[in-house]
Amino acid sequence: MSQRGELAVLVLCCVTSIVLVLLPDPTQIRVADHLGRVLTAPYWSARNFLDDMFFLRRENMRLHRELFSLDLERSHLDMLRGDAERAGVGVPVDGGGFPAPCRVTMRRRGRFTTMVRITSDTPLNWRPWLPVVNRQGMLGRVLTVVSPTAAWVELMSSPDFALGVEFRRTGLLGVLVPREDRYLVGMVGRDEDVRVGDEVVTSGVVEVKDNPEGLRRGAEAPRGILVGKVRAVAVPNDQVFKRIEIEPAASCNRNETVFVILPVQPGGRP
Amino acid sequence: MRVFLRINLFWILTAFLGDVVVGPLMSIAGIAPDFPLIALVFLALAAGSYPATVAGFLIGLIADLTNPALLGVQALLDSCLGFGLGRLRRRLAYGMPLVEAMVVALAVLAHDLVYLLVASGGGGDSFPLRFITRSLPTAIYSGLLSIPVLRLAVGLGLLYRED
Repeated sequence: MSQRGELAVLVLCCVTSIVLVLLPDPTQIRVADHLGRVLTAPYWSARNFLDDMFFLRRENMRLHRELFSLDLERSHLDMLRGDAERAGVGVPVDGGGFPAPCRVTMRRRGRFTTMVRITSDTPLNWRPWLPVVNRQGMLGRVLTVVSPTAAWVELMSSPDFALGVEFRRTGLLGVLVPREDRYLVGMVGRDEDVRVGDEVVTSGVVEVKDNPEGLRRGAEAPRGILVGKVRAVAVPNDQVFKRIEIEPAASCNRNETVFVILPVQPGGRP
Repeated sequence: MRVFLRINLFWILTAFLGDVVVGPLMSIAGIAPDFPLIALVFLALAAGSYPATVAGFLIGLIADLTNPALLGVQALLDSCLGFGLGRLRRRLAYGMPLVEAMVVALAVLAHDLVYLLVASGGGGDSFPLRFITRSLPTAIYSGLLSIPVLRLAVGLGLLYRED
């Protein structure tokens, strides 16, 4: 191709890119979603299908076992509820949030963003910063809402991630941040009691975030979601805080169902 | 046209599959090689500016899809990189893997420098830290990995076809 032709191609690509950059945010998200369906969705569909084939049998057995234990637990709770009603005392209600099941349909681990795309079968009233968990524990947070049934989730391993956590045994508070391939809990004093194997859960302390509209909104996660266990504790001589490394409880390496924790409204509905 | 399509498709697939399948497996301390840029550099060296510009646009666009807030930025960067690298094609000493590894490393650094500046709105507090802790190791890793990839591409007849 001639030099003029090459330049024309470059100009065409640049103009198209600049048009995409200058699109308003909601349009950008819609365009990216439509392009994703054409360019990358076939690969992810095939890969997810194969993953499903491999893990469906094991998952099915686990679900049967879990269903059975849930039935047992429900019957036990029914008995407790009956006892409490007979005694005339209220039954404590867990206001932790409503878990909405979603499926992971794409994932991307980059240098600056580590994200998965999740879809829900039913439209959800979700918004940025809602926590995303799986059966093992905390996974990440909703970052970009694509539509009422799809959203991009920032995983805990993203460089910008930070989460208020608490040590279950002692109630100590800290802040979890990822560092390369490790997870560290900071802001815990050097004299505090932290041991290897201690469970770390979300503290419910709200992290204030800026959203695209310029409003500040809390990145809340209900208290008590398992984040991981302490793997190593060190007390560097020159620092006022302990260096605490944790082993995350959950990972998103497999294709599986995740849950977005929607806040519960006063009426008990998400 | 068929050769153009075959080479372009091969390198775009290498970029995409390398990024989502091989990259996570080869990650060391969270640093994985940048397969899209390795593929783009070799495509530019193999086929010149025109295919590299088009492939750069597509590779960048695919990468942009996971971060819709910056849609178009990587497409723009990779198109320009593809064009520039294609222009370099005739000026490089061929058959010297170290030269090509250096080109890959510099391409990663140039890409990340501009991308991080745009993403952080002109260079925030985290810009130097991210550049040093993420981009620099990635550039070195990608440069080193490009040497065996280069040998493989030469073995498969996907480089220097026209030379």
